[in-house]
Amino acid sequence: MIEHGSGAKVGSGANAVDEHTTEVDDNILVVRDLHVSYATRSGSVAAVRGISFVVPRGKIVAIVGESGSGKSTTSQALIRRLASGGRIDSGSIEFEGRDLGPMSERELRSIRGGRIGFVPQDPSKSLNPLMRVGDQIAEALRLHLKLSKAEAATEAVRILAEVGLPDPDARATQFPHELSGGMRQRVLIGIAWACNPQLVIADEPTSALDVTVQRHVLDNIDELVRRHNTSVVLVTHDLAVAADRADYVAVMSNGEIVEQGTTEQVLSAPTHEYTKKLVESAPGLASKRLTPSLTVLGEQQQSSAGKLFTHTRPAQPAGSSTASGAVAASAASSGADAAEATNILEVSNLVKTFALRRQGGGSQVLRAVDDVSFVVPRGSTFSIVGESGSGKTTTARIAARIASADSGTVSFDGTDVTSLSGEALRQLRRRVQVVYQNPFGSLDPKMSIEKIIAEPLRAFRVGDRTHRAEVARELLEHVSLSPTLAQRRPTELSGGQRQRVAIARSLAIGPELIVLDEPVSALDVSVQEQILQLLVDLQVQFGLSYLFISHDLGVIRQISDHIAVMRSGKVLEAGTAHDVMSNPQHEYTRELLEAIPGQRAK
Amino acid sequence: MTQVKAWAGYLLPKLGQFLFVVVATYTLVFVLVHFLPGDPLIAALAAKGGASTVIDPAELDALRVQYGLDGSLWQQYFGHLIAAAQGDLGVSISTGVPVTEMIARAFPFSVQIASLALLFGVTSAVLITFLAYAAPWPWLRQLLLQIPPFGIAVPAFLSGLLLISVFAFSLGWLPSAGARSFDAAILPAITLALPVGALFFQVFSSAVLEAQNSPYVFTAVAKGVPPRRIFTKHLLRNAMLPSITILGLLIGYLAGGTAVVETVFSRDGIGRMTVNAVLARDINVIQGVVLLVGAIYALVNLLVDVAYGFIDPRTRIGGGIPSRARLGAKK
Repeated sequence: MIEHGSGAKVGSGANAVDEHTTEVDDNILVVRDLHVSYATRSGSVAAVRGISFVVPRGKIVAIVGESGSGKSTTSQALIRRLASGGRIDSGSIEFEGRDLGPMSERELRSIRGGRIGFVPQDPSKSLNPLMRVGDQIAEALRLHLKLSKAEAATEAVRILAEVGLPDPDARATQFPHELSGGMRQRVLIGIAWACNPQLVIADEPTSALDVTVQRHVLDNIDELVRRHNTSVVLVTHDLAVAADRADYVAVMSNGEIVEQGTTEQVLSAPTHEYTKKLVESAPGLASKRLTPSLTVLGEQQQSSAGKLFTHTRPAQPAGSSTASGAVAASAASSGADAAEATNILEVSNLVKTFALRRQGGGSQVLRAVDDVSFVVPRGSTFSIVGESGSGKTTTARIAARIASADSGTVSFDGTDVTSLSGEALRQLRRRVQVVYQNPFGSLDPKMSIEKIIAEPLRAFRVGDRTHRAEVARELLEHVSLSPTLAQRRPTELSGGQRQRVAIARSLAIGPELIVLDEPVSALDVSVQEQILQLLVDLQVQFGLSYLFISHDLGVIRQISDHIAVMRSGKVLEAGTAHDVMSNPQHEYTRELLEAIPGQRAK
Repeated sequence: MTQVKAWAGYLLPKLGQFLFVVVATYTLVFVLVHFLPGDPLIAALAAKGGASTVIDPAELDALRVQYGLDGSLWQQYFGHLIAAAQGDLGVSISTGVPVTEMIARAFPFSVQIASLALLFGVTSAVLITFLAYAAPWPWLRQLLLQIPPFGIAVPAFLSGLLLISVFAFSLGWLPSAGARSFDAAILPAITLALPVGALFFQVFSSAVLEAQNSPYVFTAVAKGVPPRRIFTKHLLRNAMLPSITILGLLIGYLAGGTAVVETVFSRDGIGRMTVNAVLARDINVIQGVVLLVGAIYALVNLLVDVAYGFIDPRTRIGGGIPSRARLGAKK
């Protein structure tokens, strides 16, 4: 039923669709050879290059692609509202048999919101902050269904109830800032479905949400689709979400649809190289812990790694990081020197509170970290998983001694470092390094890559300039970047490359523990996988211990030996990765595991 | 009850700030006037009667009492402060009329042109911004956005004279001077509106054009909302948030910035009164005017703070915050 693009073999093109009148009736949307480009200072840049697909009535069609694939441009083109500078060069978008291309703005307005709904990406910015949410839904109702003010208000409350907001009467009178992210997205879904449209375009509707919230919101969309027999174009970067929710999948890369077909077809037997890669790297679908690549293990035996790092201690023997978490823990303890503590990091009874000030006096105490204890065995990866507001990042910052706790102790390599300050604390930084989530914000845009990587060495006065440059180049090789990048600036690099630079910088001073705060969540899935593999390899090469923070259990599963699950500042459950993943004890952990998209594909 | 408490908790510190600004302004002027070299009263009398004026010391003492310039500095400082709080700003040295009375006479004229100028300036700024927003072609938008900076570039004495020569002398539509009729306020108001409107435009238009690219406007477009309604319902209020701060500053500027316009159009008003007082070294009048402008300035800023609460629910007092705690809302 779905049309196959240039990359696919089966050629039932749009023309073929036209010949069967029954099928024409079934397709609510037919896109033919759509080209979209953006005018930039250096000329026009093609964003969508000749895509064709159809959306059958009552079905969900997922458009899957990574950043820059043109999937968001496609979604905006479908309602003919592109970002400034964008234009549709050629092709047609037929909605219910009529081409949107030549339509006037006035005609388009009656279709937008009335017959095509749109669920935007970012719920925190997509609602007018100064307008009550009920009014924002009522606005669409009054425009398209010509309801009176009172009717629209009543209907808005009914819609809020339908999208699953508790206490809809009160919610309708609230402003967006008074609702959580998930609730805001439900309001936006309510707006999209308000006038009972035939088609809804959902552009990354859950990417900004926590995984458990994502699941509920997607369930809600499913229900609306069933109840109203709506067709949906679901734009997402997450193949697992598409696998769970869509009837058809179209995979986009570089502005083209490289493969499309039914979800089962595309996911179980991908034909295009890119789709294969995407399917392999999707963290929700992969379920194994990554093992160090063979080349690294070979290198390790020749002990060629880190020959320039004379200022660091010798690399740990290989084998401290293996597939099973339980084995890793014991291997780490047996492989460690007698002088070194078994656990590189031990934190106990950490408490951190923040006072939330309220206007008009009075304050409320938030316990961001509430009696948290855990140990990180040397040479292994300890992960903390939790959703936003769980206190995982605050815990990591305290463990790295970037923030201080109200009470509790942090001991590093058997020494209490809780109250270190001044020079002693600075010296601790040689042994504990941090890699942050955002590779765009954590690198100084004015510095060359070489300078960025060598900066920790300069700070600790290690070696002279030529030595530092040499170390930087060697580190670039270790993180699989070409040393020719040394003189470039961060802005010239992709997100994945920047994160590699950040990792190289953290390695420069020869640390023993690296705190990784959501190091891959800003990256595309295929890049995520590469970075995780790099981290696993480096762990063996340099004998590193990781404290890994993530909201994504799929990612956690790929890298962890031990896992702690946090919510509301408390550790709910902790244990070896295998135990937590296969035999979760706490209900919340089970909920998290069930919420990982990609269940249907298994 | 909690609402009242929350409002009080919000407003009382602001009121404190207001009083502080007024008292600080008074203190600063007092210090400046009394610590400058030379006796202020003798200087004022010299300015009134010429450099060779001879004054009998006994007569001078009587004058000091009359103008409230007797006693120690502390006595004067607190005496004047208490009197000012009761609405008594002393007596003008050059005219002998109570300063409060002078201000009461001149103030309405200034308010008239200042509020007209604000009305003209803000209306045209919003209008031009809307036209630029709705402009179908980029070049037209650019052109419209380039017009208002002229308003800042042309000085008031030049634009004022140009307006007089065209509308008063050549066309004869409006009077060129005086303050007797409402007509007479229009040309000075326009002159004053040029820089005021242009400054407001700079902030307002960039806020609108920035908000135009925001996701919530995309949501509105995807809802099928027509452009004019998007502008009035979605953009205008959001763009008002940054603009209202500059509006407060502009009103403060207008309170004291009417001097040139009132001189060019030979109108009575606070600005012209100040110029005359400075020339006559009439310290009582100068003090009174500065105190008045300072108070207006502080009052407008107080109103801006309150207005923020009305426009933006995120800064609104009471109500919202407890309900948020009830939700246990995530970020």
